[in-house]
Amino acid sequence: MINLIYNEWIKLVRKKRFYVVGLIVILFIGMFAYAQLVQERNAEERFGSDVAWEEQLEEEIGSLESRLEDTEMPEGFAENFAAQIEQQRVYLEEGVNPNETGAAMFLRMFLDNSGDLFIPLLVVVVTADLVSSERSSGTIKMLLTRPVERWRILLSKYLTMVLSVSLIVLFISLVSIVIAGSLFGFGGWTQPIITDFSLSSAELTMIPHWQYILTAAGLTWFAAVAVGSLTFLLSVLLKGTAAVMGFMLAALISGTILSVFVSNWETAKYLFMVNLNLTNYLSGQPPPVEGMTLLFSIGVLFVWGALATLLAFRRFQTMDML
Amino acid sequence: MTEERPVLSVQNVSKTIEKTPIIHDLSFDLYPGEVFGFLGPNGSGKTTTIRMIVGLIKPTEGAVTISGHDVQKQFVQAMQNIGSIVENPEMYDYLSGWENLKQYQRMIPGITEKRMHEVIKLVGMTNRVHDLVRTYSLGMRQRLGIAQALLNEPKVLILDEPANGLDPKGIREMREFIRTLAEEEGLSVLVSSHLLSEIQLMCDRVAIISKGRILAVDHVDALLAEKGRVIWQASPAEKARPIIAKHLQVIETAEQQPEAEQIVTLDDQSDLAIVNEALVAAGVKVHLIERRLPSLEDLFLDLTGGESID
Repeated sequence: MINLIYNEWIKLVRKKRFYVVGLIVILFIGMFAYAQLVQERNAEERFGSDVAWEEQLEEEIGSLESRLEDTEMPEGFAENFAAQIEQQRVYLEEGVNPNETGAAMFLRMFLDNSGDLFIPLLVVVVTADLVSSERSSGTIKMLLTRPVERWRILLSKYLTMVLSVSLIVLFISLVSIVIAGSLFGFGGWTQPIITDFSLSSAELTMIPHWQYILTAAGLTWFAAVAVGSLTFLLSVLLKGTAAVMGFMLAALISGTILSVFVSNWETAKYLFMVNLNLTNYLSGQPPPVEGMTLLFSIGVLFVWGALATLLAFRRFQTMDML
Repeated sequence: MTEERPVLSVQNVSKTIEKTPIIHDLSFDLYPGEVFGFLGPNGSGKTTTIRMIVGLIKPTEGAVTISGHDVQKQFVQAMQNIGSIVENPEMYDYLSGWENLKQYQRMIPGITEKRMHEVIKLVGMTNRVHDLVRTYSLGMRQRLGIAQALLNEPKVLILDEPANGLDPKGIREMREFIRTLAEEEGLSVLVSSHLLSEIQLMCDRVAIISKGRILAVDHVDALLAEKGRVIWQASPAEKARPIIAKHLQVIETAEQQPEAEQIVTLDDQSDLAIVNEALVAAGVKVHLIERRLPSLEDLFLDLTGGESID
């Protein structure tokens, strides 16, 4: 099995798809980091560097509140605002500056915001052609006429997908730390952060950043493997890599759009794409549909991923390679 | 030869794809050390049959055994004894020839790098094996394809249209190479082709396939002998024709002109001297009498009732 995975790995690396993904990651993280830098400078100009963070935070809460009162906004947006205001208040009470900058904060923010689209997109790019390209190029004939059972070959490809997902999450973390670290300093790992915040119960937990980041990375990885499994199934079913990618991209993007508008459509919560943003539950954003919890979303993703994997293996085992 | 156990046995295999029957009840055997031709026009079911032999598609009915192992039930053991190129030798063109072989070497237990060097030398690829496959000519891909098929020291080698894309020199080399493998290494080789001349030149036995059915399986010589021909050249032809027709059955061939001096008859092994004597006595000048084996082309047209090849 190690040999089979090594084979897949060589193909993946030599196709240079990985370099493209690496480049995208560096480019995007660089952009985000720069945006963060500009924002920080603006804040400094606005308040002056000698103004205490407590005052800044109070002003921010004030502006959020007035926006919430003055403007008509959809239910989901309003809830979101309310949650933010509530969190800022808690920070103020606890004497913790939520806007402190550092590599840890940047990484946390990046993970919070990339789990539902950015990382899944990269996973799709790497995974889409794992099986389909062998079929469209005809190399599948060489691969499947060896004295190795089909399911072993497919398993080696599946494990390669899981390995790639892990590497993508790891690489994003490393690049974030390096880029953000050199701009804002490498600290902030022990700075506390509010997590598991919900409007219904006044309960809140403060955990250090490093713990939050590990949890967020784990959840992001899990969602990405689920997306990878679905892509994998399509890669088995469809011969064209472009079709696989198109299908998955459409699903992912529709997911992010749905998440905003879906609050009244109860059954939409069973769609995998509105469940991808697992870090939302950590940061305390309200879920797309009321009543969704972290465990529910993990469960939905698990069922989708497991079914897709099962189906992919069953189909591949008996498929006619024409 | 028939007393030996076949290394490859195709037994009553049928295949239906999306309700369309493609292959109808196909059976044939391959014995050690023979080159077996699989002859038929494009679309006759050659490649589909080959895909069933190597387990890429599953027969709707019937079974294929390789060295006694059922391809469907004992896939791994069956595949240990077979090497194949199905249709074109498709490789990972972003890898070098060596890296391609290395991929397959890693998949088969017990294959050493020494064996890799052996097969590379055997197909004459030593100089270019570290170049990217992208830069190879079709002939070189064909050779690399044979190298990967021979990697696991198979008992049966399957080559689907090996002459495709080769120049005449390459075709001759390929033919000699296949004969050497069969005669010196005792390999059984199944060669599919739509080129009749190819099959005729290198195969011991041949199966003729058309529209998913086998029309005939026999030794090439036996098939040909059945349809032996005699070529006559005599002038004046119009005088010679009735005299010859009295003794032998005249065959009208497509390219024959009415005024041509050439007359073709079946060879029923009768004494041609008697016919010659009759011709000479009638004052016909006989320029040539030639016993000739028919081409497989004639044979094929005969068997299929005129279905064109290609």
